[in-house]
Amino acid sequence: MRYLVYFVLLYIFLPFNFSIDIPIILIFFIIFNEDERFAVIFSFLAGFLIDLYNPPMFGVNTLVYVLLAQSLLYLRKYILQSLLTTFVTFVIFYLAKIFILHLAIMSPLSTTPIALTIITFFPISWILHRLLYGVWTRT
Amino acid sequence: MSRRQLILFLSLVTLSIIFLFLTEHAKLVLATKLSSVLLFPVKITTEFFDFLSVSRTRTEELEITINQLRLENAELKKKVLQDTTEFQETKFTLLKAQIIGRDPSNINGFLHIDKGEQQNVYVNQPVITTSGLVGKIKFVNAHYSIAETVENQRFAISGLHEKTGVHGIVKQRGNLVFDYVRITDEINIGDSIYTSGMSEIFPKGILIGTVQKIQQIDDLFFKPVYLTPSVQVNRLTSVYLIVGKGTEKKVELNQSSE
Repeated sequence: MRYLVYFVLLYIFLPFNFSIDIPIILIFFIIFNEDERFAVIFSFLAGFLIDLYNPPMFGVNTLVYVLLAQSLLYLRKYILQSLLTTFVTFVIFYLAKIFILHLAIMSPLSTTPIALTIITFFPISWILHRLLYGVWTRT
Repeated sequence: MSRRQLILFLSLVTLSIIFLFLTEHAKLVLATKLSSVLLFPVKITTEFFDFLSVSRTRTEELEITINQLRLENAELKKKVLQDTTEFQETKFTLLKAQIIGRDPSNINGFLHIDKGEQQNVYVNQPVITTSGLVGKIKFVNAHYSIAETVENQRFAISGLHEKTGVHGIVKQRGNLVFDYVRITDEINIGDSIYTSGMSEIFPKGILIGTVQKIQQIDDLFFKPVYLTPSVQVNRLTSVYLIVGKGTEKKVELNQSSE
């Protein structure tokens, strides 16, 4: 049921991906809260759907999302779960994605969506926790 | 990393790399076919927002048309009243501008708008809304302009009482006053005062305000007429600039003068 909710949310927020990157927040949330296999598959599908918007670069987002998700899955056991470390990890994860995609496909760097995504990370994470687990935060 | 996880990861990476190395044509065909199926829900959402956006654009277009028709109507009325062998066919073009700021020291006296020199805005350009006259451009920068409104203390404009043809000067003196109206002139509360067209700045027929009060004072010649402005400047979020007054002169024989 939770998996279905993730896909519904992905579909709802995909059109607004260019103004606020909610799919990356969803992926980050899934990496830290769900099964490893689902996390990688979800990342692949999110990247795949984004790639459909830009056919000449088909496969770039898919590859970047899968690599980043798997890297974070590998590192998550070493990351102490607290508000600060979670936030810092997300910022690094998100900026890494932005930077790699900028290098790979020369996607334009715009500060407003980046700032908006970072600012809304915690509120969206809390809402997701509340929606899926019935609590505002989990430790 | 478990063995299953490793296989899954490697499979997805391989698949991504295969996508990357597809030919341009294959990528386009694949993306087009898959997007029609996989992005169907996304397209519905996007189309809904596009529909809303189109509706908003359509509303703005209709507002512009209303303003243009009002101005043309005023010009046509003017022509009908004129006894001349020559008339001008006037076409107005309007440019919508958003209000991006106000002068904090004179909140309704000056409006900062988001159009400037780059959109061919010039000093003394008339500023209106669908309700009537707002003012004129006082200062122009490359990307924004400042408009002086009818609520600014120094604002003055030539006005016309359409029913009687009485001319006067509309001034802002704390209230909007239609000045130099003779005590014998028949002006009633609720009557409309329009721009007279007797200036190079404003075309004729733009509503300035309606008569709110006529003061009886000990003056042998004139009576001050107080107006309610047609536009509530403090509620404005956007305005229209009359950007072009393309005129084509046409000479026609006047039947009455023959």
